[in-house]
Amino acid sequence: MALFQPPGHPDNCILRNRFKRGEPVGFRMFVADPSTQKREESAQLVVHVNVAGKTVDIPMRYRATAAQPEREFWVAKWVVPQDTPTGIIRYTVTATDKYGRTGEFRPFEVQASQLTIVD
Amino acid sequence: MTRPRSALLSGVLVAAATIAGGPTIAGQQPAAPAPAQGRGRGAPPPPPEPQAGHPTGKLLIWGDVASFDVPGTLPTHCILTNRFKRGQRMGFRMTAIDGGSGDVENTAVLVAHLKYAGAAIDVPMRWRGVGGFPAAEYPRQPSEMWTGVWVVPADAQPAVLSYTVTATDRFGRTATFSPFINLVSQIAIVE
Repeated sequence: MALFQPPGHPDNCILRNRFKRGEPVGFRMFVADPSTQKREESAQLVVHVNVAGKTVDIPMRYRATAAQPEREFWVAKWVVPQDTPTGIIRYTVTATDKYGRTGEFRPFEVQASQLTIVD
Repeated sequence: MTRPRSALLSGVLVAAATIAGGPTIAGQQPAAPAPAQGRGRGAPPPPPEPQAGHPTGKLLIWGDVASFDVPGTLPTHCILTNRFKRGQRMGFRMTAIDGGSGDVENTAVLVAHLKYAGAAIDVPMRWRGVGGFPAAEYPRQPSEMWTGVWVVPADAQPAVLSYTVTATDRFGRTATFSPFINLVSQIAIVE
């Protein structure tokens, strides 16, 4: 999890789990094929953010391009709505690939490390 | 059987960081000989027994870094960050998974390798699945997490540091983790 400010911003892409309303929460993921340890490029990923009793689904985008092939990860951004209450926001990430395989990610279960909205 | 936090259903593991393939652990120092900072908990427990069905697939690892400021009541304890000041406790958090089953591979031995001031520092990691940890802080127990700590020296100069984490399990499987490549996301020592 990182702060996804625009490129050039001094804090863009720093690691963080505490965000204020209006700030862009950045999700970055990698998908590995467990039989090879290699990246599974066909994977489709979705972040599921549970906020205020509702689940917001955010599709992730594969970041590598022909010009930047080294960016072998998926990204998504969620801007914290202004009416979001303070506290912990739970999220998961799910994936499916072209073979029909699926997977789910959950962050480490440490309270202080959870995505948290602060004033 | 220890269930993973990152479930692996029908074969695809979703991880939050790069998992490099191949036997890249060759030539790197094993965990046992390297002294760790901030320890003093006595001898480590014996390695756990192999879990039923292991090994299947590859060994997969991933993780992140966090502030391991103590005591645990500090507001910065266990928050995610990649910027650390002198004297601050840099925490490495990892998990290891048996690729075929999706279970935590609790026989894995992990070591973080930090490049600092031209030297390579090995930080052995400790599995948090054994021992009593406060339920309020770790609601999902036993924890699937390995942790290691490095304290930023008092004379450290501001710099960006690189690190990797290597793992090997009782079945001889190995894995190497490298963080996402964005420069701003790398571990940094700041004023």
